Amino acid sequence: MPRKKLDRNTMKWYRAIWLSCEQATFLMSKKEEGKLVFKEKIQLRLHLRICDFCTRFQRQVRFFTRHAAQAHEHTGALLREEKKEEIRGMMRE
Amino acid sequence: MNNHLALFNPDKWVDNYADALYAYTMARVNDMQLAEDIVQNTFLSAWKGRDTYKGQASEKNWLYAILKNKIVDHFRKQSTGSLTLDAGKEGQYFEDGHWTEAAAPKEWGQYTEQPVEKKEFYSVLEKCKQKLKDIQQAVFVMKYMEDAEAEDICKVLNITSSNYWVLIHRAKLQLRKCLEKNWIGIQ
Repeated sequence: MPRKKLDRNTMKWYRAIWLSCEQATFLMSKKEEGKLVFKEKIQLRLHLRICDFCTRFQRQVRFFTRHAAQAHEHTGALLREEKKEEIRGMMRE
Repeated sequence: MNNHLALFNPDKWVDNYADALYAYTMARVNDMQLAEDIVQNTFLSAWKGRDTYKGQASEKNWLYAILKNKIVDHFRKQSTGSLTLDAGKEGQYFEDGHWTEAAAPKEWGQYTEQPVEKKEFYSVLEKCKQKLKDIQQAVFVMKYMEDAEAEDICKVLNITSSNYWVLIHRAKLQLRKCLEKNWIGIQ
């Protein structure tokens, strides 16, 4: 919901292009792919200017999606020695 | 110049790369047995194809390229192609399009501003990722960990682009909520 009191015409205009939070978060993924049409770009920008929840959602999702690719550098997972030996054996044949 | 042939040394592959390839795979498929199989197949394919190595890429990058193909192959095989998405799953997060009180994103504070080196974040992310359905994991891994284009992901998984948008949206909603609860600690 808009924070400031808006005049009637502006309210009308807002209603015509206002996205729900469900739609706005959905469009964020499309945006990553460069698939937003002009109207959607404007709608999303406007929604994010006003909606704190969706702004947070965007920031938090960006945060964990950006870090996900490096996950393997932090797990310390090791291949079992027996498996390594098995593979070495197969490569000798 | 730019030729890596002199450094090509299959005898040392397992010693040099097995752990790294395995950790990389585990982070993407979440299954020990499967990750072992994928790594084994990668080495065997590389071994059989060692004569085709021309030295344009480093040995390491060449092995990773083979590995990444095997991972995508796994997702391709896993995807049955007969996807039915239950309608209204977003209902846990939204009511009439608005965030429900329980699902509305809370402030995460300083957590997201610092560089993440904490092992804890990654282990929680891992657990949260495991809770996703297979197809959602596949979409998430390919998009955000393998940096694939949506169009290519749809081809591999044999899904429509509208399925893709729904799956990625739900994966994000679920992961965000799970991280908030288990990493940030907001119930």
